[in-house]
Amino acid sequence: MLKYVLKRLLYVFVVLFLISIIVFSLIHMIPGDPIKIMLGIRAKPEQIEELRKQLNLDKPIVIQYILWLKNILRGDFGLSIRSKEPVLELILKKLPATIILSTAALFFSSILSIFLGIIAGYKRNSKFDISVMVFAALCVSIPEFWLGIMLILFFASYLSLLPSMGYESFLINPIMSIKHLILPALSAGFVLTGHTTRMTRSQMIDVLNQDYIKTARAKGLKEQVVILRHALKNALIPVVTVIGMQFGYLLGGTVIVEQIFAWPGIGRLVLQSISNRDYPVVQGVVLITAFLFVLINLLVDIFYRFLDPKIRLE
Amino acid sequence: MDILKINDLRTYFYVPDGIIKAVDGISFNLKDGETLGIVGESGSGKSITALSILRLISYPGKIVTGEIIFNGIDLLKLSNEEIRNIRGKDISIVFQDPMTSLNPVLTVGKQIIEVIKLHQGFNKKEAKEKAIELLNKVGIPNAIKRINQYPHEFSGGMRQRAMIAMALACKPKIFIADEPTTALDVTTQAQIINLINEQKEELKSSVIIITHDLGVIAEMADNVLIMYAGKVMEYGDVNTIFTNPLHPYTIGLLESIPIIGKRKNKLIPISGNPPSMLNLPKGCRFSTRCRYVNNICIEKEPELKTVNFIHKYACHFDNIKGGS
Amino acid sequence: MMNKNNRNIKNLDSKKIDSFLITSKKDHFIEIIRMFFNNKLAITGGFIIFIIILVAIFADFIAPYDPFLVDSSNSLAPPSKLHIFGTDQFGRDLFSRVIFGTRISMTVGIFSVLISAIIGTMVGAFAGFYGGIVETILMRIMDTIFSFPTILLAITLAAILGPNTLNVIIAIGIIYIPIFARVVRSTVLANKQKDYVEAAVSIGQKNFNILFFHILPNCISPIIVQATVAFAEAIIIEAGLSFVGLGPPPPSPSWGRMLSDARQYMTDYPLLAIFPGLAISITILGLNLLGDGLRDILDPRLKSSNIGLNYKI
Repeated sequence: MLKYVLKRLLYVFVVLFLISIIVFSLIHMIPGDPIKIMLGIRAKPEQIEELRKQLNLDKPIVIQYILWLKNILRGDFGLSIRSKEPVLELILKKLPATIILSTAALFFSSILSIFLGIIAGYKRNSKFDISVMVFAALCVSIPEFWLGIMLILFFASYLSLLPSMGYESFLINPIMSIKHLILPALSAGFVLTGHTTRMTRSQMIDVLNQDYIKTARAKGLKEQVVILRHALKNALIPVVTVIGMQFGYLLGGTVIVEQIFAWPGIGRLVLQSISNRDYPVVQGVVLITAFLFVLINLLVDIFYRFLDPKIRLE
Repeated sequence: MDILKINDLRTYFYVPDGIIKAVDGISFNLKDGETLGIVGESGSGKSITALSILRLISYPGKIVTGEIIFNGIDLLKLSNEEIRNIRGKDISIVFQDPMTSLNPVLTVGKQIIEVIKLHQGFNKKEAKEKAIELLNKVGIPNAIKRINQYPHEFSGGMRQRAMIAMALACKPKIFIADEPTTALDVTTQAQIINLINEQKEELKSSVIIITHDLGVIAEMADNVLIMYAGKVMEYGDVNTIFTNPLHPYTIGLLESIPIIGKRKNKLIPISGNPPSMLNLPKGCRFSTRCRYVNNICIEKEPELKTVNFIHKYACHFDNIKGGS
Repeated sequence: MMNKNNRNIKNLDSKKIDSFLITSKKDHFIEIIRMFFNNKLAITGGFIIFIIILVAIFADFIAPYDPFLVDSSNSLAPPSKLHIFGTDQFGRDLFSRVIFGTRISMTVGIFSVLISAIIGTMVGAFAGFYGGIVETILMRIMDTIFSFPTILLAITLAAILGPNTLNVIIAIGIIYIPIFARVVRSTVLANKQKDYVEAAVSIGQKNFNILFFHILPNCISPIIVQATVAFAEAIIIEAGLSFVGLGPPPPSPSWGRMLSDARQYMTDYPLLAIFPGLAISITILGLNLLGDGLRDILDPRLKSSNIGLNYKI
C-alpha cells in the first residue's frame, strides 16, 4: 500500500509539472502582444516596458519559466494587473465561497442520486425505475446555466421565495445564507445528479446479480438485510469514488453558475479577470484548480484502495 | 421415508425473446439419509431445480406449477417469512463458484456468524465460537486467525470448505451441493467429496449433489436422476445406471467419458448441441442428437416408464441397445 | 427397430455449419442496422438528431425570416401569427434565430468531435500499440489535459485565442482528445492480446497494417459511442461559452448567447429564455438517447467482434 502511494505521488508530481508548463504557456498563446492587451489601448510605452520587465517577458522563454516556477513555489503568483493585489491572496479570499457551493451541490446531488439509484436498481424495469431513468436523462440534458436562469425566474422573480443572487455568510445570518445557497447549489449539482443516479443504479443491478447475493438469500436472510448488509457496500464503493472526483471537478466547474448568481467564488473571479484581461489572475486560478483537482483525485484513489478489502491488504 | 417429494415442477423464464422452460415437469423423491445425484449438461435445468426447491427464483423466472413437499409441507405454498425460516436451516445449498459466492467485502467469519445468529439465536460471542468450531470441523487450519480474514485471502478449496461450513452450520436436513467441485482442481475435488460424505454421515442429513461429472456421482450418489433440456430422462440407483442404462442419453454419456477401472474400446461423443430452450423440439427433447432416433421420437414426447419398481426412463423404445 | 439413419435431421446440422463460415463485413453491418431499428432509444435519439441536422442544413428554407433582420419597432413582441416565438430585444424573429442556431451547434459539435476523435484515436492507438516510453509520454500529456475541469479550460482557451466559432471548435477539440485517447488505448490493449493479432504477425504482416486494418476496426464501436457523448458535451460547452460572451460574437444566433441576452428581459418576457434553452435541451437529449441506444447495441458486440480476420473461429 505504501509503495503504491509513493508511486502515485511521483506520478502526481510529473503531472503537476506538466500542468505548470501548460498554464505558463497560456499567456504566450495570446495572439498579439500580451502586455499591450493587458494594459489596454491607452497604455504608455513606459508602462508597457515596465510591465514587460516585471513579468519577465523580456527574457528567453526557458528562463521565464524557471523564474515563474520559482515564484509559484514560493507562493508568489504575481500581482493582479487591475487591483495590484497579490494573486494568491485574492484567490484564497474567494476560494471558500466556491468550496461552500461545491460542497452543497455535491451533498444534495449525492444523497438524492444514491437514494434513487438504489431503489431503481432494486426494482429494475418497474415504473419507478423507468421514471428514474427518464429523470436522469433529463438531468444530463438540461444545461446548468439554463436551469439556473429558469430557477431564478421561477423562485426569485415570480414566487419571490429566494434571492436571485449574492452570498451571505453563515456566521452572520444563517437563514439568509442558506437561502442564497439553495438555487446555485441546485443548478451546479443538477447534471451530476443524473450521472451519479445512473451509476448507482447500474452498480446496484450488477451487484444484485452476483452469486454472493444468491448465497445471502439462500441463508434465509431478510431481503432488507441482504440489501443493506451485503449489496450496498459493494455497490457504493465505486460510486463514492466518483463522487469524490466530482468534488474536484466542481471546484473549477462552477464558473457559469457563479456568474449567474453573482456568487463570489473563484469561478466568477476568473470570468471577471478575463474580461479585464487580468491574465496573472487567470493563470493563478487555472493553476490552483488544476492542482486541487489532481490532489483530490489522488486522495480519492487512496481512499478507494483503503475501502476495498481486496486491495487494502496488498 | 421420503423427506422431499417433487411433483411436476415447472419453472419458466419470461424473456423478451420468448419463454424459456428451464424446468418443465420434473418429479422425483428424496429419501431420508439418501444422497441423490442429479446429472445433466449446462442448461439441463439441474441448477434451476435446486434453486426452485428453496424458492430462490427471481424475475424474470417464475415457478409456474408443481409441488415441493418437505416433511409433509408444500414449500411452494409457504409465505415469504416461512420459507426464509427453512433456508439455511432445514434446507441449505452450496453454490458452484466459491470465488464469487462469498461476499468480498465481509470477513468469512461475519458471513458464517450471520447464519448462526439468524437461525439459532446465539449472541455474538457464542456464535463466533461456534463458527471457529465449524471451520475446524471442515478442515480449515488456524481457524481463529482465518475467521477474521476476507474471502480473497482463502484458497479456492478453503473457500469451498468455508461455504460448506456455512451451509452446515444449522445442521440442515437436506444439503444441496450445486457443482461443488467444478471450479476446483482435481486433488481438492477429492477432498471436498470426502468432506461432504463425512459431514453427511455425522449430521445424518440427506444430500442432493448436482453435477455433470459422472465420476463424482460414482463416488457419492445412492440414486441418480438424469436431466436433459428441463426434463427427466432416466432415474435409478447408481449401480443400475452405470451397468444397465436404458435411455440413449445416459448410454451416450457413459460411452463418451472414461471411467477409471472400466475397460472400453472406444470413446464415442454425443454429437450436436443441446436444443435452444426457446425453441424446443416437438417430440422427445433428445431426438436431435439421438443415435437411435426414429420418426415417433420426433413426433411424440415419450412418457416416463418404470422398470423393476424404481428404474425409470423416458424413451419410446425398450432396451434400445439390445435391439440392434 | 433400429434406425441408424440420421438423414432426416441433417438439415439441423447444416444450419450450424453456416455459423462457421465467413461472416462478412456486410453481414455485420446489416446486423447492426437491424439492431438499431429494434432499439427504441437509438431510434428516438437518432430521429431527433436527424431532424435537427436537416433543420441546420435547410435553415434558409425553413426559417421564415432573416435571423439578423433588425426591426426595432417590433421588439420584444409576444408570439403571434407573424412571429411564432415572438421577437427579441432588437425585433428579430426568435423562431428564425433558434432555427439558425442549429447550424452553429451542429457545426461546432461535428468539427470539434472530428478533431478530438482523429487526434485522440491516433494518440491512443500509438500509445496502446507501441507501449513503453511512447505510451508513458503520450498518456501523461493526456492526463495533464484531463486534469483541468473542462469548462474552465474551455473558457481560458477561448478567452486567449479570441471569441469566434473557429477558436471555440479548436478549444473544445483539444479538450476532448484525452477521452478518445483513453478509450482507443484501452481497446487496442485489449485487442493486442487476441489470437488474430498473433496470427497476423506470424504471417509477416507489418506493424502498421496490423494496427490499422485489424485492430482499429474493432475500436470503431467505442469511438462512435464516445463521439455521441463528446458531441453532446461540445454543444453544451459552446452554449456555455457563448453565454459568458466567449463564443461566436453577436449578432450570431448562438443559443447560448440568446440565453445570455434574454437575462435582462426574462422577467417580463420569459419566452426569450425558454425557447433557446429548450432547443439546447432537446438536442442534448436526442444525442444522449442516441448514445445510450448505440451503447446498448454496440457494446455486447465489442466483446465478440472479430472483424480483423473475416472468419469466426
